[in-house]
Amino acid sequence: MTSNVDEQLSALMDGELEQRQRDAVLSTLADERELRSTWRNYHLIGDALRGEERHLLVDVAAATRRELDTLPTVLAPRWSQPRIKRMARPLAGTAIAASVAVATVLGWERIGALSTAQDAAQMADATVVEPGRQLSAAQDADMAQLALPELTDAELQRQEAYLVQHIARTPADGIPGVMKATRVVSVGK
Amino acid sequence: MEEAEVDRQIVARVQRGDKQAFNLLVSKYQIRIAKLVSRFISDDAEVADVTQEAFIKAYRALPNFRGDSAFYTWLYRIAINAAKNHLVAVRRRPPRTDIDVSGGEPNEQGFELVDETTPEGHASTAELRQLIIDTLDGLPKELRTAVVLCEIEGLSYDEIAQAMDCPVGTVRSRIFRARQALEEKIRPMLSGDIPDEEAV
Repeated sequence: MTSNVDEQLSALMDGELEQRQRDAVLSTLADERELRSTWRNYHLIGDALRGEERHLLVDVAAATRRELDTLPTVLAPRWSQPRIKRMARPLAGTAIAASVAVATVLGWERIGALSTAQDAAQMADATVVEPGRQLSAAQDADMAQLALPELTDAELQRQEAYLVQHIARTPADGIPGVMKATRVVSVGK
Repeated sequence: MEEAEVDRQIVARVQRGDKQAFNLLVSKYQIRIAKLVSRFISDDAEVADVTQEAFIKAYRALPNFRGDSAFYTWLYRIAINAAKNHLVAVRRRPPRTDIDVSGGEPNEQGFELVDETTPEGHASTAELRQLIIDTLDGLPKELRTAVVLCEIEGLSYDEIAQAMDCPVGTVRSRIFRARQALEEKIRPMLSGDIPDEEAV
């Protein structure tokens, strides 16, 4: 231990040591028992000069250290450091806003897709003519515009088989169950 | 550069897993915390226990210390809570047999704790402080002035340099030499029970 280090220690106590020297002195303190003793005594002198008397000989450092040895080492994540945290706050806000925006866009598209499928189902339902029910003239005209070309039985069977397989292989696209049946019926007749 | 910044740097070391660094904070603040705790608790042995407890609680809570306030401000609050919790616990348990309740006046805790501090203990602390004061009085005037302005008046090195009309480097040297002289005098009176690095 040199007087130079002691002088740096004295300046460190007063917050008057430059950053690069601070790191060095703190590292030396970790290694030098004698220097830690000096650190404690310098602080004791300061307390005594400021008028403290009764508790000058209080020394819980050794007992505290023994207790600390039984505890797990504390480790704080780097983001808990104040400067980094201050920087991270706006970034976190931006990230959350971006996530919400992406979720909104994807959700909207999904809802749109569902709506289209539901519309298609409703349209298919509307075009199914119940047995015995008569269409109005206007409905007749609409149906005429939607009329499909005449298909042979073989072509109809092939199209139905294709649609059944297509729907069966696209489980995530559209509403399962009634929706599949509705599509098949609507195209068939 | 402030003293609080040095504390922050030590705390950062502890938060990176350096337990030894925490002991620097204990050595630095133990007397101030003991004095604070003694405002609530009169028994010196209990003061030491609660002081130690406050540091242990602080160590456990360090991962949550965000540095929004100075370390000492944060530690101060922990110590006050520890002292208050201790008083509540004392009120709930029967008085210890070695406390002379009959001589105490009832208070909000139910009874007045008797100060168990030994006269020898008081004599030692009084002697220690007197030795420091006497040594200070015997220092050359420029050393004495520098250390008093720093420790008692709380002036920065720049302010002391202006007051004493000398360079900052001279102020730093004078304060160190004063501390060195004082420390040499008191060292034989202190146990020197600083935890060993090997104990880590």
